[in-house]
Amino acid sequence: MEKKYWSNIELLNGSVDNSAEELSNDDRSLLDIIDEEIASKPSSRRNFLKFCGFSFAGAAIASSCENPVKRAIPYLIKPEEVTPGKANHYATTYFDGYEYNSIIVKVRDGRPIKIEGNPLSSVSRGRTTARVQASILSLYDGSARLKKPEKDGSPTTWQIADGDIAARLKDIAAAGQQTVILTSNIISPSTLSLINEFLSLYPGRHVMYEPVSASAMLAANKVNFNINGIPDYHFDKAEVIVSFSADFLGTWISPGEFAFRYGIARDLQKGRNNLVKHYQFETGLTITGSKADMRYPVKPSEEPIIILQLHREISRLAGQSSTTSNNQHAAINEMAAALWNARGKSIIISGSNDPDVQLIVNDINFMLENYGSTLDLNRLLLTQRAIDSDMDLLISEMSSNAVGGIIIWNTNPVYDYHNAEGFINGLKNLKVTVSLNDTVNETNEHFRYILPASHYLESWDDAEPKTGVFSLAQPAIRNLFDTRQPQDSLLKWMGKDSDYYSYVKNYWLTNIIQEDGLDWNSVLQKGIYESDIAAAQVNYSNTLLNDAVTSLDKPVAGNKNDIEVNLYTSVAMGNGNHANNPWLMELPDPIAKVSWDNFASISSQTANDLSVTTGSLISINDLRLPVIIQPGQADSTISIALGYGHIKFGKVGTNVGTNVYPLVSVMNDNRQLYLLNASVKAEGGEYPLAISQKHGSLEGRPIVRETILSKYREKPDSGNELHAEFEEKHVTLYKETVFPGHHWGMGVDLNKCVGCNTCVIACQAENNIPVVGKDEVRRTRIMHWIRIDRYYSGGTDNPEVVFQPLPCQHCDNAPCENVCPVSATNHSNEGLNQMAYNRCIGTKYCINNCPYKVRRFNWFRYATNEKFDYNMNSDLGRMVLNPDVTVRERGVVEKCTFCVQRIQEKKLEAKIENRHLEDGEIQPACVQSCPANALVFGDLANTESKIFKLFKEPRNYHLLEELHTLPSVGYLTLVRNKEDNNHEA
Amino acid sequence: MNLKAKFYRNISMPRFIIVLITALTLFPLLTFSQEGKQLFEKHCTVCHTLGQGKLVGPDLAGVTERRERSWLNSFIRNSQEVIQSGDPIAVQLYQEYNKSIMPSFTQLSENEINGIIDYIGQWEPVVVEVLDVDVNKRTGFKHEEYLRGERLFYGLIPLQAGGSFNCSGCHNTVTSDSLNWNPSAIDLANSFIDTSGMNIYQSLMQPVSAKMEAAHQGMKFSEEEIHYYAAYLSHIGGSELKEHKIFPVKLMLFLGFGFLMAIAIIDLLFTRRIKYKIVHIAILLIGISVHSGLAYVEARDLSRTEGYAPDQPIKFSHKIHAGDNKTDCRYCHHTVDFSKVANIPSANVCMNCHNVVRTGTNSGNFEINKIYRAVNSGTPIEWVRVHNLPDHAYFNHAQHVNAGKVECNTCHGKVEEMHILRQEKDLSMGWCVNCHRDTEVNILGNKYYSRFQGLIKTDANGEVLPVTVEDIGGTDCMRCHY
Repeated sequence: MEKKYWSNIELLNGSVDNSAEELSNDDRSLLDIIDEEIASKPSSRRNFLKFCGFSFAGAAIASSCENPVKRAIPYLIKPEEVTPGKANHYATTYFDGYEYNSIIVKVRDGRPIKIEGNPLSSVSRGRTTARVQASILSLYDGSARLKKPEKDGSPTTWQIADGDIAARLKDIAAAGQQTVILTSNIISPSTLSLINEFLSLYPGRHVMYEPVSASAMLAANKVNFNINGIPDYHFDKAEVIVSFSADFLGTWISPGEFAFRYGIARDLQKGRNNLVKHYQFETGLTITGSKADMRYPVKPSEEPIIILQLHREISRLAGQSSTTSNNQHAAINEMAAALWNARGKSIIISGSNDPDVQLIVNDINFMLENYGSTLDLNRLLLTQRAIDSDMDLLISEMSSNAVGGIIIWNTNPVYDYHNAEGFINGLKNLKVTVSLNDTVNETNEHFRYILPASHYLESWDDAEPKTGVFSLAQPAIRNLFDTRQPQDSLLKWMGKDSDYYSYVKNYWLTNIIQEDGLDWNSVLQKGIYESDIAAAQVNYSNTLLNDAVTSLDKPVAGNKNDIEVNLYTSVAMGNGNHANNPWLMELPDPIAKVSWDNFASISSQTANDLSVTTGSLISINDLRLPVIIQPGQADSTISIALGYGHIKFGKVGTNVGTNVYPLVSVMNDNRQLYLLNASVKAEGGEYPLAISQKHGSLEGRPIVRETILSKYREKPDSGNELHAEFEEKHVTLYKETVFPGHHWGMGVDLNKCVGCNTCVIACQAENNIPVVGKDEVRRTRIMHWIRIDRYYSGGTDNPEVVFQPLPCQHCDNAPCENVCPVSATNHSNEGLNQMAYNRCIGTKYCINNCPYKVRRFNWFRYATNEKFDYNMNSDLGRMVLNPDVTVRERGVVEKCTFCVQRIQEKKLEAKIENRHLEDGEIQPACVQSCPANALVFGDLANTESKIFKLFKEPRNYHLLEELHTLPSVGYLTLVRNKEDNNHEA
Repeated sequence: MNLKAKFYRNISMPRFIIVLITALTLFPLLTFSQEGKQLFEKHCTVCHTLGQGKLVGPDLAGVTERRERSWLNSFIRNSQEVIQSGDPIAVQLYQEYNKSIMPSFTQLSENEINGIIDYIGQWEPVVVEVLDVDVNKRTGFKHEEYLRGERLFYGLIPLQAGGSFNCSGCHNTVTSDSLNWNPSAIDLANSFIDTSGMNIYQSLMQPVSAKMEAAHQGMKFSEEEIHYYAAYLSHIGGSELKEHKIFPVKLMLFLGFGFLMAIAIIDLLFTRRIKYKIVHIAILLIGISVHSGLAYVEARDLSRTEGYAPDQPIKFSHKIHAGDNKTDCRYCHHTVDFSKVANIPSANVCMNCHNVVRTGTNSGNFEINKIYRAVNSGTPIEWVRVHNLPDHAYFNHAQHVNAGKVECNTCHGKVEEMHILRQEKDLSMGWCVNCHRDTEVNILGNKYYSRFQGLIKTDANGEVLPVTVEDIGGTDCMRCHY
């Protein structure tokens, strides 16, 4: 991509140059002449349309149109804190069993409509991830959420269920059997304390089970440091990062927080010139791998060996041993040297779920003196607590007589546990089986009592995601259905009268905030409480290291050409519990750009071997999946996303894709997300995939500009020389646009953008963007106002990848505006490219003329159409709509507005308060949610603003600026920390 | 079929003997001193009732038996003094009623206070009547009973006690353009079918308010007749007032000229009865101009509702509240300064005043009772929205009223003179845009506009020229459409 486009652009320059100079000398521009012409003529297009309108009037007289009577129904007794038309914000907590976020819920007229990160929280820092953003929609999920209690498959009342269950639990305790509470990760100190109380009354066990766990890391940390948790990774302080299959920017442990820190490590603004060096070994291409400076595709089976080799090399450098490996991976020497030089400022992580691998990774980190600097052992990450072997033990106990009853909550083992059969059989021996899940799923039907939990936005709770970091969860709406939060059920069955709210409050007042003497209400308002903690004394013990080395240090079993299957959690779907969320279903995979399916990614080499191509079906141990030929995929491997293929869920998530949890294997007491010897064969037949970006190449155009760190240090505008050249040549026929007050602009730092797609969902939630479904996505009718383009460069076996978020560019000389026959799109005096829906007649000329392809056409009336049965066509689903944004009609064009409703809101606030508008006060949804801080929004007319300074950065350029569209969106060039720009693995 | 006989049988069959104790308390007995009564109503009824329970202060029925006359006298004269003297009863009352202070009445003479106490002492809960009917029967009337009730209601059948009264003359059954303070027939019916609503026997036999008493002067109803009225009301309850059909002048004009033009063309081309072609041409010209004129007016007014003044569920008069009583707009529409919407007040805001003000100037108790019914039954009042903007137009009250300092009257007209609220302006886009073009912005007075200083121009005399809303972008599409 590099060399080719230079020559193309020179050619283009030459032609623009001449014509511009000639015309600039004329005082009277062509537009003036046309304007005068129009003014002198009696009729215009507008008049023509006016006359057209009159022909309808005749019909109107005869049919005497009546306006509908609209009712205005005020509160009977208005709650003091509610103001109609103004939003309230409540701090609460998101935790779905895997991912944690302290959030602010925007509640408008009693309806939660948007989630933002809590800026006070040191974990979320005002940011979110795509899954957190989308979780608001699951509140209004009428098809997946359970609506009332059931007993033996028929509706019952809470009273009957409570009486039955309490009696059964007593029987079980009397018979000397155990009651097991099976949950996903629980990080709520109050809930854990409540469960302990419950289990002291009804003897039993609490088992945490998570389909994609960090079990091995927990085990290794227990051995090495005697801690129950994971050290906090400070990627912002790292100079070298080596990751083995850990997609820490996408889905691993705490992706939002890690992306924020990674953004800092990738920051080159304001003259900074140090950049983290990131090595990534992985099987399939992830967004983390895409951001890596050096990426190496490896098979899952090779990974432990490379980690071992790295371990040896570092030990050698540390002087602890002198052996070297044979057939060492090519990158080891260079990487080890880099790590050794950055001792104390590096991070090695592995996504492996093998405790032996994690022991070695810990030892490497220890040798590199990372503990205490980049790896924080004081504030441990506590979100992952499930130990894989606990679940296996439970299954064996269930078949014996030890367990009498089971209560499950927020788990779906029949779907996501590899031995689902064992679980179902175990249930048959039990006296009472209670499901406290909140949605329809595969597991519930095997349970006698299904007592639906409330949504997390309807519940009280708390959380301790890190040592000493607490947050509270409060309901933002009353229960929509006849549901009850599980903690209240436990309290009921314990025979207590109090509710869980008083339990949490009491727990906090006596255990958490008592020392600081804080008031409950003020803590609840902030949503968080972070206590100072004393530095912990942690001793490192590596007694099991040699065993680990011995067990891993053996040749790979099986044939070298065996196809290995690698299972991963995708950015949209996670572990699958959000599968009924239409926003996430339609969210294109950041790499493959496929929505509405999971698929088997294979390399082109392997595709040739199997003689398949993109869209062909293959079978992997009886599971049929469509193929995507994925650049960067390791040869002889297949990567498949987990979380799809539910057979019992809501209307959106059922029978979409294939469930690959049955492929999970068990090794070393832990579940492994790979399968080393899968039987793979081509099935024949085509499968229609919904791919939203079919073309990944730039075709030599300077849309993405990039350079390498050494060149950047020499010359900050390296790779961006064209910008200065084009800037000089901007001459126009048209009248210069004048912006009397504000001039809004957005900046995108390509270095920081990690391609996580959070902005896409945030925009969808804010701007009432419809979901159109797989068929329409296939017809290129996806409606997202901001998309993230992904481009490849280099060879197909291991290409370099660039993510480029693309909202409307709000060009000051917009090509779309000139071609609209009815002037439905035009320019505001604040630099916004406006779109008046009620004026649009749907010619789509603007779409054709937009060089950035950001305009979207409403082919259907998505909001009230049976065919688009997602969220907008039911009263319940429509509750999520933002009342400040029009729901668009069929036949009109729409596009990014820079969240004009937020601009107007903040301007009004400033006017009312008689003050200046502060820089950064206005944040469009995408900017607000971006975890990596890659997006900046502000007033270009304000020379003090961040955006003004960003536009002055030498790295700043505009997309297709040679077209003189004068976009209001600037991009900062990508700088890779590598030696040459044509890296081959 | 002998309808009459059948009716009698139907009434007499259930034979419920109901003892009706009227809740009516201010009903005057002739033996009372008129002066005492007037004084009581003037000074005491704001906070006290007789036999109707607590209001701000205690129910005074029987107070003369509970307390010494001298105690009452001194308490009325200056209650605080009695309380401060440590009188146990007074202190206890003071505590019980949330320490609300009863004003002193030192301006009243000894005689006047005695008159009030006499009035209270002589007051009795009125009239115990034995009725032969089930007063609680609200549904399940026979069709024949309803038919008879309807005739009685329209005054087609004379009353037994003489005279025939057309109830629909005051209690209208069709919509009307003019204001009618009397409850409409549907209103009555809705109140009747509501279990907590009116007791028709009591209302007609012993009118509740002075207004009603005056209006029903000289009408005597028998129980049987009231039963028929009840049947009628039960039947029409829950329905809507019949539409008062207005003759479609424009439509007739349109069709009439269409017809004339058609004839003119036929005659011009085929029959040729009229010699002078000027006639045809004149008809065609006039016809076309009438048609296009009508078309223009209708097209312009399509979905515009200038002058819209729908009937509201409660006959709420802005004239009485905002005009006569000078209540500030913001007292009820209090979110106007900081929210997009100027809220319609919730019933608890109404109750701030109507907790005490229980009788309306024009409508007696009937309309105000609707608020109580709403509050007691927990059903919000469904007002009819008068000012409707299309969904694609964003309008923010705070922007205009608070930031822009636009008076309410500018867009809503003289609300303080309207009994029925009417849409004064057409709320068309042209109207909005014209105002944005003409209205000046306080560019020097608000710090927000410091970025817009480039717009400030002075004339030859150094006077600052006005900067309009349009100058700062007030006519951009995305100020209102997004």
